[in-house]
Amino acid sequence: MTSLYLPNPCLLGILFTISTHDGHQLVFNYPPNPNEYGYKATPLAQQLTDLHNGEDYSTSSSSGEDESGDDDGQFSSDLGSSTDENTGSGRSSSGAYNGGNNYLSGRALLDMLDEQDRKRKKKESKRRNLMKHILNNEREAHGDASTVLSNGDDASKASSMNNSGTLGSLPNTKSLASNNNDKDSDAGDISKVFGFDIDFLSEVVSPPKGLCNTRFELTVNDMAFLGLPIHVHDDGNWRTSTRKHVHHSKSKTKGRSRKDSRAIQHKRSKRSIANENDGADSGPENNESDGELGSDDADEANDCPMHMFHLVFVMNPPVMEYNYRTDEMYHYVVSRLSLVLRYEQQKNNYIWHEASKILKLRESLSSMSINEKWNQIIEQSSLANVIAKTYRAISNSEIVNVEINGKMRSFQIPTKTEFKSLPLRTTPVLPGSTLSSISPTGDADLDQNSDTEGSLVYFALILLDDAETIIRDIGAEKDSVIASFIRMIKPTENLIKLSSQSGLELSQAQVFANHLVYWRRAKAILPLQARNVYIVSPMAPFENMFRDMELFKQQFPSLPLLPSFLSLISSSNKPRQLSLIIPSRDHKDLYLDAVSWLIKSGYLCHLHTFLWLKISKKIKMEVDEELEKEGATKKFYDGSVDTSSQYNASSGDASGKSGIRKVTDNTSKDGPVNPYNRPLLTSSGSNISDDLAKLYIEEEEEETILLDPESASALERRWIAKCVEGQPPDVSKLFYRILKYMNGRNALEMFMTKDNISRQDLRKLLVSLESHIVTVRHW
Amino acid sequence: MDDTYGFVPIVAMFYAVFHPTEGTKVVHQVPSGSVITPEKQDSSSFQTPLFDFDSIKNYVIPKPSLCDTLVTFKINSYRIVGFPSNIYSSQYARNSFSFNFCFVFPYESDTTPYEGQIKRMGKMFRALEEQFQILSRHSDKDANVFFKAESQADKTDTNPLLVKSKGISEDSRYLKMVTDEDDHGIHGTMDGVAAIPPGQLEANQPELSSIESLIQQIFQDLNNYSECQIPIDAANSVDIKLFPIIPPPPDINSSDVPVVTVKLDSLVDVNWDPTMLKILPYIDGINSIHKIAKLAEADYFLAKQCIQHLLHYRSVAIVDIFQFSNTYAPTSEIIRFLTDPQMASECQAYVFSEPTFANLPLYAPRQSAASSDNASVISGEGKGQYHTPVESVSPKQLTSLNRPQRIVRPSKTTLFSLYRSLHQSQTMKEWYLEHASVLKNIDIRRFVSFGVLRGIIYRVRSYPISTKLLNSLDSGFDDMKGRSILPVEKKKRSPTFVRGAVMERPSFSGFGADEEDAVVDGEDGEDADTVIDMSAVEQERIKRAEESHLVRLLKKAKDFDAICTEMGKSKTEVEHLLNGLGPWSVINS
Repeated sequence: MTSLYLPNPCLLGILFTISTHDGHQLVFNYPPNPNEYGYKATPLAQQLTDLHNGEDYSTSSSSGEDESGDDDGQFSSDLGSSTDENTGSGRSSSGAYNGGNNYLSGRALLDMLDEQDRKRKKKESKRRNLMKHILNNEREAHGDASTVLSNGDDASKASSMNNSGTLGSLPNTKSLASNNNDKDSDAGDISKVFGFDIDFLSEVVSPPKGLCNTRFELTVNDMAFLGLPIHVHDDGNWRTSTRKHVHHSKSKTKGRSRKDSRAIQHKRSKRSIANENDGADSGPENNESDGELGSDDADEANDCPMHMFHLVFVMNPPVMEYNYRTDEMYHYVVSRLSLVLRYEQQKNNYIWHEASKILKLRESLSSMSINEKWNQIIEQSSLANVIAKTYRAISNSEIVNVEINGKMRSFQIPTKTEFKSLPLRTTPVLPGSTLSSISPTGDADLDQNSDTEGSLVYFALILLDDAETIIRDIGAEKDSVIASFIRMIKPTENLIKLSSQSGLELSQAQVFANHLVYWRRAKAILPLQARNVYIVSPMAPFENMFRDMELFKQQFPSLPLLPSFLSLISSSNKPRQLSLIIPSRDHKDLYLDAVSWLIKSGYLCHLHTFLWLKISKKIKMEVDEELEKEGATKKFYDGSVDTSSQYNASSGDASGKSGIRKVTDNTSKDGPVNPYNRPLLTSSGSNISDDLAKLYIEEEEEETILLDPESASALERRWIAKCVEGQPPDVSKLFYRILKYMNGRNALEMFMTKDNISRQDLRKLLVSLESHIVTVRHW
Repeated sequence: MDDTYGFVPIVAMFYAVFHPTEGTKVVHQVPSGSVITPEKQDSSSFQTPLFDFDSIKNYVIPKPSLCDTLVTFKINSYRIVGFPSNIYSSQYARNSFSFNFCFVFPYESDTTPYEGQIKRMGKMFRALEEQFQILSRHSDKDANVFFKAESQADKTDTNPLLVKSKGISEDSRYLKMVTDEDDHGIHGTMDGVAAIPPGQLEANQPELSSIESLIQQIFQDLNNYSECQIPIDAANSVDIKLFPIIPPPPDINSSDVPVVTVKLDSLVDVNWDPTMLKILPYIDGINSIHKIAKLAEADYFLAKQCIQHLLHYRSVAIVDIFQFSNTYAPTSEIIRFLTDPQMASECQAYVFSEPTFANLPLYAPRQSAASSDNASVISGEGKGQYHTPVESVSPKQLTSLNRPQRIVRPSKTTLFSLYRSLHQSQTMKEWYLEHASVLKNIDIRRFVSFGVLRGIIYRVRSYPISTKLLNSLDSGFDDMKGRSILPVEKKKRSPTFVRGAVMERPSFSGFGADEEDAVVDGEDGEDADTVIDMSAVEQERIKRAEESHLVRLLKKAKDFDAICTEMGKSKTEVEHLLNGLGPWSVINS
């Protein structure tokens, strides 16, 4: 749970099998000699594995793995006994301490614990390497424009070990292979993969037809075989020729998948994930069925003896994260890639051609050593190349860019770098993550933030890469509209401006911006302005500060050093506008650039202002008096208050006007109307202690904060009207315009641009209504 | 994962074997009809099976290489978890016996609590089958149409002569023994059918009354009570208790402060770890782990592990060291204080503190005076004082209760406005002075830890930055020991120190004694007396050592809390040392 924010693909290898009338066949696997890790889960830092894992199941796992099993045990026993175990015995950790000696010397115990610590650190550092690698790549790409990011080949070059330990150069892989694995791997073919006979393995991952064309998941201990087996249909077609479904509008599908991805990424609810997945099985395929299945397809299919193919991803996710990791892998990579392959198979028998090519190559190259052979195959077969590249990129949490049958395709497991709320300090996140509660691209709570859906147009983009690099990577024409759009992207200009300047339609610009963010090319922020207030983000990656200092210096040699700059921003009596830090007008652009760099690297975040309307006791009393005069008091109290959306607490105090008390009492008995309008409940009775010597009274509740002024009750509307009574007309007009935003969910900086309100007017309003408006500042 | 430990209910359970003539088949299932269509349908059985058993056969009873592992697989919207076993023995028809107890769960559920148990159960039955043929004999006993064939096959096969004629190379003595046992077994089973209590004929032979009722009971007990204890015989039973699998606790720092969330004292028993017992009294929401270890005279790493265990079981939560020099600011979650109906009232109950000196006669006379003129009380009292027991009380209440002490609870709006008034650049001390009038009867430490634990405010950490160190790092002159930036000659520690230009922290001096206590963590690091006793040289040496220690920490970009805890010094002392290193500033993050 703690590390769900970090990418952890846990990918051990990819298998590719086909089924013909002769049986099942493992055509290709990558890496050639994967390690099965004793079918155990990836050790997390302090991984808690299966409670009963360590019984007598011994496999070929390395010693490191065994040890990890041991210290897991210490965390998993129950409270009393586990601490006992720590102090009482060393049996689980080391044979040296066993026997009847239950009382270890402090020294030995300490050593033991240190040992554990070291082991854990080692594991952590592995993970960290992975992260660092991701980060490095981003930085490299930024620092050096010529670096081509996310080229699949880079992955292998730059990568350090990932947790599967199989990455890197191929010979390395071999040496890592567990020793019970084939000794004959040097010559000829491999006979075992993941500790299973190849024949057996290919049979296991070739399910009967009943399990095909849907998610396939088989777990052996903690090792998961995940795939989407594609079986030919009875009519000889590979894809469901449901013509009636074909005319799903594309946009609809798109919208859906976007929603899906959000749900996957941010809702930890497994239920929702699984549901989405089942839906997704049919999603992309519809998207692609655009009537290309001509009659020639059928002819091709006839000379294909293959009736099923299956791309199996083998993973060993940590036990705690099993569902999450397999779901994201399936949703983002396995299903998408498999469906693309099915499409190509249907179109021109691509899979069968490639499969037979690989099989022939394997035969003709049988004299070579396995690694040479694999290199040859990857060179010559595009499908093998796809598999190898996918493995390399995914196991490094990178974006896969592969050419499948002549078309570029990209896949990725999205990384979480945007947070709506601050995660716990102990929760590791990717360095460079940003905080923003209003970001339209972050983890949107679909139910409550529907209003942010269209708000992306008010945001600007920060490119994470050099513009020209991105243009090249996405394969855009040098002088196309898209390319000029990318070149124009500036953190100070929102999408509306950008689209008008670049000539791209706004909706297109929005789609494209979303695309850039999704593919880790950009971040969406509110346009950078000198008037904005920035704070040093509580998630700032201080552990990297001294390293980033150099990068910062290269970029901005004339500015103070990074730490001094941050200090400049953060140490004042109140968070202040950027303009107060900028020494002169000439420096403005430079400072803004620096700030955008810092936002991009996660050091700074924008402090937004949120408003609420507060009804003071005075207002209430005045309204109350008015109502009494009007003789309408009764009506208001009996009817309207029940549905009121006020924030109020009852008071056990008797000093208030009787009318007011009535209101609050009613409120406290109310059932919640809806989650946001729910008034706060408290029981006044419990406040009075049974200790007769003391009388506890609650402070008189004088003020009420309206949670949702837009749907105010009649009485509340009277209060609101009272607040602006006597204000100049322009102020009260503006007040009613922005009233709907005073629910603590809309950032002032945002609706100002949205509703085109000038800063002066707003300031005037805030000053004149100071006593009625509550402001809260956060990100 | 949520806080409530609910276990996914088991949808169905079935027991499958590899039948010598019929292949893989389901012998028993609960509920009836859930896996295969049963012989005789009754009203309670499923109309149609949940899934097509034929397509998963090969995973229910897989080839031997997949046996004795926990195998789970998906079919339709179900996940099936089993521990297939395969036992080689010449006594069996086809020389092997394969079985599997499978559990069916909804696919998207979290089955981890079950997995270990299923594995354990599978292993136990494997052992029982190996020793006593408890399962295979039972297939005989259940002598319905399906199993007649198998029982016969068994018998013929286990005939020693036949086995030998089949040419199977086995130790004949072993075979003999096995067949003997098997024969007994058959008798035993027959008796079992006649409902003679197990053990009468063969005292040491475990007897299973019925696999069907066994899985029925496992199914029902686990779903209803999350545990089961089903005796098989005197020595063996199916004991399962489900435990939630909680993620491992995060790594914690020495400067973190644990706050108990349950009444730990009431949980203590004799089996508790001695270190745990030692440190318990010091977990008070004020002491950092480092300090707890010190006070309890326990080893730091052991103490830390204890805290991590408590954290794992959610008995403690972690906050930061509370000091009046800390800074806090609202997070985006602050809206929950208004929308979450419970939070505000919980906060009210938690932060409320009775005036410390309420019972002293000192304040008695004031009471009567106060009720007459409450306005003056509010404005007159309060500056920096905790104890203002008096607030306006209606005459009615006054008369109904005989001269009670009146203690005012803060209202929810007050609490909200207090939380929102925190911001990134104000220390608690400054904030306190600003809001002292409304902070009567509020325990500030609790106010802060409530906010932090609920995530509505966050601690703004300050990281000291030594300008000199930066410059030296920048110029590439990176001496690892940091000597380069250490001044050659420094003034002795002087009582007055010059603050860094940007530094505007107030000192704690002149603040109440209560706070001082909370402020200083690891105060006991350096004993002033001993320092004075040492010679000047020694002093200088210590100071050097401290300075280079500090430089090391600065290079790791640690915040003040971490530096103070690690060096065992108060913040003032550290600031003092920093001054010795030249100008410095802070980053508030």
